[in-house]
Amino acid sequence: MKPQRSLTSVAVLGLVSLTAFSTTAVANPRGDKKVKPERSVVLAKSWKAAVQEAKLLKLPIVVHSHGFY
Amino acid sequence: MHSAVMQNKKYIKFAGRSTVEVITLGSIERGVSSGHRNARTYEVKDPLTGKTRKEFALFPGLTLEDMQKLNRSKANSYNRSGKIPHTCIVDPFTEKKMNEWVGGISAKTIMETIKTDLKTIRKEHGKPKLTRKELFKIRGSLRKALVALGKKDFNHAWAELKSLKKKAQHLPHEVQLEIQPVEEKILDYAKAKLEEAQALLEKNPAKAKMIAGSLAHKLEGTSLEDMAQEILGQIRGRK
Repeated sequence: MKPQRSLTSVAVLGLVSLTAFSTTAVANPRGDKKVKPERSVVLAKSWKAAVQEAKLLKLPIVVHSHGFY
Repeated sequence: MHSAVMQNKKYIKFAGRSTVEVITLGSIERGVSSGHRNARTYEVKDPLTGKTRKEFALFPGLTLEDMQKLNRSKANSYNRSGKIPHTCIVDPFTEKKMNEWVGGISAKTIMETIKTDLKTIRKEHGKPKLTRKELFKIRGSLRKALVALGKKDFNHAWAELKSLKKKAQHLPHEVQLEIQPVEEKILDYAKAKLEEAQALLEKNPAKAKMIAGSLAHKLEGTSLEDMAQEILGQIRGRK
């Protein structure tokens, strides 16, 4: 028989999770030292640099057009 | 879409040898001003300028200013659909679209199409004379030379540049174009040192000789060779 969680413990757990989530969602919008770069493709800094590098290495350019959200 | 392609391990590895990646991003100012999670940045100190850059964690290497410039560039003209996400493959020689997808698309489909487009580009323009790894190595050496110059270590900067120029002799013109401004910067520094030596001719000829003497040999074959020899000649004439 599985142990049953009381309603209070579930509520507390939910509250803690929500607090943790909301903290990460709104904190450090700018220049936080705890923030680390995420895994990503290497992105060209400008269109000119992208064209120059692609011509030099004879590679196609992939342009991703995304929304912020 | 961002995590499925641009953060996809397989795609990252593939892109490292097969593409140049560009992003344009809508509503970026609104996202940053609202403090959205995607606007998180980390700080990077530029060893050349000493200034701190704030780069997006989600788009490493890019600052808000870089993103705004990309949004104003030709890169933003390829999506005529009015919808996002939009992905397209562009031929860098014609700057024309080779393929495009409106809406979400798998990394696998993009990779398959890139393979075909890459073959088309290389069939028309031949194989490259250097790899991306070699290009990054060259850029690393240029950076090292500039960092050394920033620390006023002319000898280190000059040695780095000289060895790089020797290696890059047979590389494409575009590589020489990347080396040129760094060489100019190093020579500007040497010129300033020679001017300093010139100004010290009367007051402190020993120091002037030391400065010009240490540079003269290295500057042989450059536009500053005559200037260095002239200073040394003036010092010799005084004896």
